[in-house]
Amino acid sequence: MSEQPVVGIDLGTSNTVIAVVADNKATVIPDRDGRRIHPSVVSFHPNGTVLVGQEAKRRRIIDPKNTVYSAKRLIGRSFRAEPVQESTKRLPYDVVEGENQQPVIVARGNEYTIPEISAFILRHVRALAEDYTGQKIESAVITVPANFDDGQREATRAAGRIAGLNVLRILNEPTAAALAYGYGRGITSRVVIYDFGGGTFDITCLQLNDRVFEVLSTAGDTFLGGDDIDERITDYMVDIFLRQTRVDLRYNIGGMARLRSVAEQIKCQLSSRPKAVVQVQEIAYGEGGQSLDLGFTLTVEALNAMARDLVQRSFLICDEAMKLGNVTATQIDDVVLVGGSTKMPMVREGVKGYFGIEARTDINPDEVVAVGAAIQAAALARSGVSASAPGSVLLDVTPRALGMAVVGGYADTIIDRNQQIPVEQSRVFTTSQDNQQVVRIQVCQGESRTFAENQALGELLLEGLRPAARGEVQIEVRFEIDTNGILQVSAVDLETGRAQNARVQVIGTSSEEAISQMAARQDQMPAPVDHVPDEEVTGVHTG
Amino acid sequence: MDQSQLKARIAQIHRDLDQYTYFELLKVAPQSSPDEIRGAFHRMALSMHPDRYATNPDPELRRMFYDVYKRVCEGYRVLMDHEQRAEYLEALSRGERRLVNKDRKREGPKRVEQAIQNPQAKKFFTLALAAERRGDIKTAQLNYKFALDLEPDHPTILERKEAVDAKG
Ligand SMILES: Nc1ncnc2c1ncn2[C@@H]1O[C@H](COP(=O)(O)OP(=O)(O)OP(=O)(O)O)[C@@H](O)[C@H]1O
Ligand SMILES: [Mg+2]
Repeated sequence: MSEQPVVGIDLGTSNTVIAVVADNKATVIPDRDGRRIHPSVVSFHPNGTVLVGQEAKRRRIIDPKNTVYSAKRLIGRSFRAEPVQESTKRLPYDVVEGENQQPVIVARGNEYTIPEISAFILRHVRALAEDYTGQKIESAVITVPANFDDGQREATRAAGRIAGLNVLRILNEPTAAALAYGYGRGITSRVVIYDFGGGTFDITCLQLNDRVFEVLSTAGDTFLGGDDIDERITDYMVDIFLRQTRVDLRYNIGGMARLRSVAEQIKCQLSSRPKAVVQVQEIAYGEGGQSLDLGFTLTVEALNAMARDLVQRSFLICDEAMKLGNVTATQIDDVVLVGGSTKMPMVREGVKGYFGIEARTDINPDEVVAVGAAIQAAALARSGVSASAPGSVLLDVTPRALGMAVVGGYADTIIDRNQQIPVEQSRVFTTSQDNQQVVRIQVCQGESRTFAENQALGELLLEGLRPAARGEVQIEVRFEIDTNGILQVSAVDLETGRAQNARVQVIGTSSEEAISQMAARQDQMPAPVDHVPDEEVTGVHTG
Repeated sequence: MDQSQLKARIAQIHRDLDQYTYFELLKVAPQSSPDEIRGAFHRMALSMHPDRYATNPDPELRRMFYDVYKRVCEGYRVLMDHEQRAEYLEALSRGERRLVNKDRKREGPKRVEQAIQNPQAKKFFTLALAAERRGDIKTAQLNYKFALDLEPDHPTILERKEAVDAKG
């Protein structure tokens, strides 16, 4: 039997990286221009082509309404959720509410769910891997931030399926990074993975013990990343422009898209030099139709002042993770930096100050997650009969508490945060009304005692209860999280034994059937590409 | 070990799963330190973790490893937590071999919430709860009333409203 290669994919907010294990060595796969990280941007070209990657990212400026970026911020969430509402205000493309409260993107008159957008990216990188290996790629491990909730994991898995991939595992990004760091080294050490990416911040503390990688704790913020720093710089530029020209750019979609792109460039420049001189030409037109430019100088100190509170927030989250894992910062042996934003000197200094040690510099922060994912993919594909097979095991935890609604608007936690998976817990409840025949079990994720303050995940109905006075009928509710991090909820009427066992249809996700339809639809479409061959390059000057 | 030996071994552990104490399951002495328990858990994980058998062709075998490993995790969780470990020793002296959550919490069973269906009512209800926590009884009363107008007779809203009315 010839061994089909399996891949690991780091599907990031800003960039996607794909790696494969061959001859026991993990390799990051480049595109034909030699690029190893691919912008997670999908642009719908007027000629019908679906563009993914660097070329698509360039179109954020010239075609902002049809160019989708940062879709990961929306995946698996309810359109109505506050952070989604906040993001869509800033996004230049159109997002509307679809079935089961899903956010749906409208571009060139077509509607796409977020998993469909992500699937275009997955299809593209998979094609790169097929070119590179000369073999068909059917299975993959895809990574997600550790504190992604059940809905976000489900939706990411759906993206894989829509792309026609067999998703071997949805793996936590920091765990993948730890695997890449420690695999095959046979070390015992306590490690922190500090991941500051484009859209999310994550911190995970692990105990490495030869071939065992145990997560001690994990914490994070899915709305803290380099994008937020870009927004700060953009706001700053809008202010300067307003003062210099009295023109407010905030309602100018094209102008804002350009400023954001410039903001990111300035930020990256300031990671390796003390100041940046910025000239943006023809950003708007004045009363007489004359073109207006923006010019200013930004120093590292000024950038640090703008971004300091964002970086500080990451250390509050570190405190949380240290406390959860019952460790102190001084007990950490090694710090691994992950994510593009850790290239900022201010972040590196902050990390050094917090942990009292220099972070590893021999690990590529952009590639380490994909490499770990590929190692895990190979391990899963190779597993089988022998308990003494080589390879490592990853022992992960539940990132958030899981609970259900009880009388009084409260939430009752069934499974605590930071528990080794798989885990199963149950609790007995009673009915709240006389002659109640149906109970509705509302499931939520989060640590608050108040139901409404947690993230509602979905609900389960248990019907056909015996008519009785309130409080008499007893119902056992059982939650189980499997090794994939997927939640299963069941309820049993303890008297009749009548049971309901279901995957909760999580709010903001699609049904199995809808996923199959979307997969079929993408199979019919031409494959996404990274170049439009005959496109003339429009003149855009930045920087 | 070949497939049939492996299956026989896991089947035996699986069959007797309820007979083992957590100490027996993890193969540690009852007075073991947390570090020793962690070490034992890691050894078990290397041989029992379901990922080690992810592509094994026999679904029954995979299921058995999953069940056994889930119980190993349960033991690890209880024994690593100071309080739960003490409770477990108590349970053991009563002849129980597991410490399950539903026994652990001594408070009486709670009643299952009936969902508030109307989204607007839910909003008012949330506002009212927040106001109540701030101690702003007037605002709480008002918002509970709005919520009830939209969803009359809802037991939870009624209950809360009566409670604040009594305070106000
Ligand atoms: N040299 C640099 N200096 C500062 N920031 C940088 C630099 N290079 C990249 N970045 C920033 O890093 C971010 C992208 O990081 P990365 O590719 O790790 O994110 P991601 O994995 O796509 O996102 P996430 O992990 O949040 O889903 C962007 O905000 C980018 O501007
Ligand atoms: Mg990342």
